[in-house]
Amino acid sequence: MLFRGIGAAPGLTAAKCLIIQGAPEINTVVQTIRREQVEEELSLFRQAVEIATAQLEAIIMRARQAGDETRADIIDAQCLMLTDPTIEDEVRDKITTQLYPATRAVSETIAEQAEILAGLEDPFLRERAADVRDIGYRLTAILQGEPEQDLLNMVEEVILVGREITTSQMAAIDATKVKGVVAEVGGKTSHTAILANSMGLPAVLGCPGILESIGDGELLVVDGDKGIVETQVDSARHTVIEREMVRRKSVRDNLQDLVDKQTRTCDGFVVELAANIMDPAGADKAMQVGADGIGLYRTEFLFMNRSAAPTEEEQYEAYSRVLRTMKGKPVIIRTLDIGGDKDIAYLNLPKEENPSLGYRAIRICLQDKPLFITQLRAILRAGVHGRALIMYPMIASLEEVRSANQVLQVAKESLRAEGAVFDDSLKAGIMVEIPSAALTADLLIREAAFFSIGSNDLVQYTLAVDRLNDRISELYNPFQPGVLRLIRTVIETANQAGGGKFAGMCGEMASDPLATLLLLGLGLTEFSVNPSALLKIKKIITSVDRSYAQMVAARVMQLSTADEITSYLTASIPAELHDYL
Amino acid sequence: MVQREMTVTNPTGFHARPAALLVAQATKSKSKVTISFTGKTINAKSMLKVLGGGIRKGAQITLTADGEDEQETLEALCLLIKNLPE
Repeated sequence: MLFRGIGAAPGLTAAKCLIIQGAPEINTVVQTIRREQVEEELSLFRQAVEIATAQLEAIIMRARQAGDETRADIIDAQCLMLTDPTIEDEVRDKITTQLYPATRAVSETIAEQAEILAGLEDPFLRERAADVRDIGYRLTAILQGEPEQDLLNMVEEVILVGREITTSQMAAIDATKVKGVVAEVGGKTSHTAILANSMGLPAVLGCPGILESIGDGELLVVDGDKGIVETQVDSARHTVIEREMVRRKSVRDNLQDLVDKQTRTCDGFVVELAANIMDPAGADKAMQVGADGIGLYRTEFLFMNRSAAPTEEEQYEAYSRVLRTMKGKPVIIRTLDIGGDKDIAYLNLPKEENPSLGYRAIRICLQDKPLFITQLRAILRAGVHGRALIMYPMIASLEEVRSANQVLQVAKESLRAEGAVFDDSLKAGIMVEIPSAALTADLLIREAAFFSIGSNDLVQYTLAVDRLNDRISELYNPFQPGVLRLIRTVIETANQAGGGKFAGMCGEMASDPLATLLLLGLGLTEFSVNPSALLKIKKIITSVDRSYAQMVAARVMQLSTADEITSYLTASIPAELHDYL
Repeated sequence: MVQREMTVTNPTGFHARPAALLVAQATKSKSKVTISFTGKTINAKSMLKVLGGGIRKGAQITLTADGEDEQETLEALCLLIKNLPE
């Protein structure tokens, strides 16, 4: 039987399950106590807090010894909640004034506090409700004299299954024996998910109904990549799964070996394989997968979810951090790309009938000069910490490139006048995502340092298809000949311009393995992809000759429909690469 | 009683680890420590209240310490908030 949940940590595994203890049943028959028992119940509560603290401290110590700071920090935060004055005051009040026994006082206080957190807007904080319940279970179990379930001394390899695997249970397990984690509740941002990821355990969470259909010790298959749990696994199926585990592991190891390798085709052509990021933490991920640079740093996330625009100083800090992390590798910083589907409350952008054709991106920046200059000054100053490039989004005409470059000059002059330290040689390129920009690439390249093809919008504007509209999303297809002709024009124009100018692509298409041969063959020299897809794309580029890709691209450009093109491209990918798609 | 107004500048606001650091520091003080934010006043020694306050980056807060070591408490907390990681 198959159970679907949320793939919260990747990997495939098969092992016997160990059902773990959930919330303790609250079995107090006594609903209220006599006044003379108050002191006794208060002291029971204090003792329980002490015992729970000692249990958590033991977990923290083991985590620190194992060098797992993530685990230690998370349980540290639980320790703080355990001695939280809010909880203490509430419990004390329920015992002394409402005459509840300690167990009832604890369980009701915990339920109230968890409820408050669960009602918050922020999904991260909502997940903390689970931490509060976790310490509640621990206190209740201690008050009822139930022993702590021993998760440390396991004899055989197991997959943990529970209604909920609490953070402290996750933190207490023996990572050499536990092979995977399954729970009926929880999601990608839960501490359980974070810990499973940091411990390298496949996890499927939010998988309802699993507990009632399995028995302790039953063989389970957990596929954290797909978010699937399989029960009633017979030995034939088990063999198939074990073979699949070996295959996936070898694919992963194989890709991992590419991290430090140059992105070069078999016949020696080097391309830049960069990563798309949205914050400084993304740069760390990009470095981990061996990105050759950042091809798209989406700065708008720095401006979202807050009450006022970030100051120049704040922006300078963020951009500097990315540049320092990238250690001299190129970083393309895209200026504010808001409006359309990304709204920012404090800019008071009016609701529009047709936002994707409306007041957005560079159009906002060219009208709100202070906003634009602040960002450009921050980028120019940060530029001294590495190799930065500026990129203007949503360029439709040469006038816009000129206006934006004029503002860039103003920003440079203001910094020069102040005697500030900045990168005077910093250059600006443009995103090509509007058909008019692609069609006038020859005019634009004279005043832009580079092109980066924003395939998502280019496809949407060229085909006049809103890809978020379910009824027509099938019409959204980057392999339509109309789109490909524009892409070819943009790439060829940049390559013929000389002077170090180049064409890259930062849209989703660059992360699609099916498009890699085609783009390489058309002459694209910079691919900017999602960090999770980077090694896949690198595998393809480093496994083929550029001359082969050129032949494939030439053939594609002669085909007439998107269907013909995708079938041809699928067939063109060498068989030994199919495992990586 | 001493007070200071300040802006939260670390990227995640008073989220998990930043909140834990703040509460740990506040708990060391002998004074009563509160954070006022959009009209609410929060006990800075309570992890639950600090997390539940929803204090994000850019928030204008007023920090208050009241007690025998109020001055040192306020200085230490301001320094900590200015230098919060994440």
